[in-house]
Amino acid sequence: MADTPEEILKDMKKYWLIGWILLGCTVLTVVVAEITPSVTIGLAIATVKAGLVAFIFMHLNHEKSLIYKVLVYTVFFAIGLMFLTLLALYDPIIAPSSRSY
Amino acid sequence: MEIPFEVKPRPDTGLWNAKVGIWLFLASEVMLFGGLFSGYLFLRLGATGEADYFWPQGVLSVPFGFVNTLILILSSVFVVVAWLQLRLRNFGKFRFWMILVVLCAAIFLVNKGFEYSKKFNHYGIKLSDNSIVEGHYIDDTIRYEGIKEVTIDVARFNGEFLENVFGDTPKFREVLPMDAEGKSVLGDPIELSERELRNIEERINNVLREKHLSSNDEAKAKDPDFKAIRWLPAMGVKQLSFVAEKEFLIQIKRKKLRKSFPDSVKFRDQTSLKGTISKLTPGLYLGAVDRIDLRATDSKNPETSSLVWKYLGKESLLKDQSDQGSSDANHGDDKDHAAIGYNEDEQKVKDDSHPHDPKKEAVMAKKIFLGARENVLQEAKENNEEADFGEMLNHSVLKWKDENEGEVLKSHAPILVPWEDVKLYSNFTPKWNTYYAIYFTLTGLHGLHVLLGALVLLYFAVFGRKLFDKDPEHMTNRVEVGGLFWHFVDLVWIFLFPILYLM
Repeated sequence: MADTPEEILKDMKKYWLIGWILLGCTVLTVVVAEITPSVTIGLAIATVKAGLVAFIFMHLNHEKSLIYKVLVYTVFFAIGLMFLTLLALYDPIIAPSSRSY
Repeated sequence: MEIPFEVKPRPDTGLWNAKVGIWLFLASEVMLFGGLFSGYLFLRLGATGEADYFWPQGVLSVPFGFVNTLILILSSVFVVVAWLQLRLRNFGKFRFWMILVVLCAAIFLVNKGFEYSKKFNHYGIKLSDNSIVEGHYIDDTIRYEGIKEVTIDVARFNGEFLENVFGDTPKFREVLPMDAEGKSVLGDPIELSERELRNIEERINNVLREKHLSSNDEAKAKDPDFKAIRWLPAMGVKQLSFVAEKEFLIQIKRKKLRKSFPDSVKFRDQTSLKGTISKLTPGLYLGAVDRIDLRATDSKNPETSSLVWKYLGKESLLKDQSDQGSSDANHGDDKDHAAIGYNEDEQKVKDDSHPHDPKKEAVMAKKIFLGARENVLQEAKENNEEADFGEMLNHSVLKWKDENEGEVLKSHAPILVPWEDVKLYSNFTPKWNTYYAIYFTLTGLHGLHVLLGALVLLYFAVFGRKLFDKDPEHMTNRVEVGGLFWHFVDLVWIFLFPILYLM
């Protein structure tokens, strides 16, 4: 991590740049949603924005390995959570054939 | 007590302790929000129309959400800038940027407050054919006439119905057990009140008790080994019937009732009255319809045969009576509007500024709605495709550009839905649909994070000077931890905005 004042000021510029990119991405999300209400594109832009916040603002791009270890588990289980819905879609009690999806 | 490794990294992890702490906390937060996002996914994937429920789309104001997103992103930049100022050992500038962050949080929350209050003041009605209308100025006043018989659940009675008697409250006569000849007997006329009822209850229960005890005594006289049956509370009086000396009427908000039928009504305390619904309150009135959603309507041609078209443009009958002071149908009860700060009067002036002609507005609303159908048909014809009405069946009927006439049509038509055709009605709260359930849960929890995060950051800005003077590195680390939390709050919103507002 930068420690000299010059390096810190350089960082500051970087953070502002990222801030502008994030604002731009937000405008893009709204514009895209106006043109085509695509869930995939909307979430893709959101993921890029989230990545920028996590890696630059939360400086995950240079962090100690312990934090990555914690986050690997978190991400794994958080993604797992999203698939819990599948348990409802393929309900073993109600036969799949009686369902329309 | 000295806490180790607040500033210097621990040799084995290479990190100062608070940093490990905040990341572990954020990991748990990811799981917390992850669970709710998973819930969102579940509800949304389930809203396929199978159970006549379609996911509401385009119901939130995008500009509101958009502005809030920009504000949170800006605040995220401000928070890192503030942190860098601390690393440059410049407390004054740190404080400046941190106050800006807190201001951003305040604007975000105020914005959110406005959005919430709008939801509390707008209502939806689901009709018996599953058509949905949404709008504002609800009046669910219901009046029952010709009431004489009253049945009371003794244990639960709270006098609710007496508070809603319209006009004079008559005296009541208790319906007593039939006499030896099988004729019905009535008690003396009394002013019915909760206190009076307790007296009657005590009197009856005493009689029952005496009877019970004497039967015990008799049994014991016959058989010395007889074990007396102890007094059981279940033997007390449960229900009492009364007859009014003359017919009376009640007027009440429908949502305060437990059940309503054409010939009787039940209050929440189980008091039931026999009477007929007044012709003045034949149904639920919504003063200004904003949106019509016919996606779940049973009929094959919902655009033409939905019940909405039958009832749209009908005025409340009570409205004409409001001059006589019976009810202000247009505003309803102020208590209905739970939210503070709703600019209802402002909206009302806006709505009344153009001449109000319900019939014409209804025609216009239908024209607006079906106009969209024409557009879809025409587009499908031009592209040689099959027409897809999915989206057009759910849209705002407030404004619509008429291609032929080149003008913007406006409609705020009222609707009066007969009680028997009201399947469900509610303001935009979790009761109305699962969308609002998950919307309030997700944004409410996020809002609490914004509030608490802002309070912590404000604390650093206001009271941080002492620690900064003593150990600037320690102060910098604290702010970094607070900042990490703030970025997380921003990160959650980055996902919330598209999934709730745009999709």
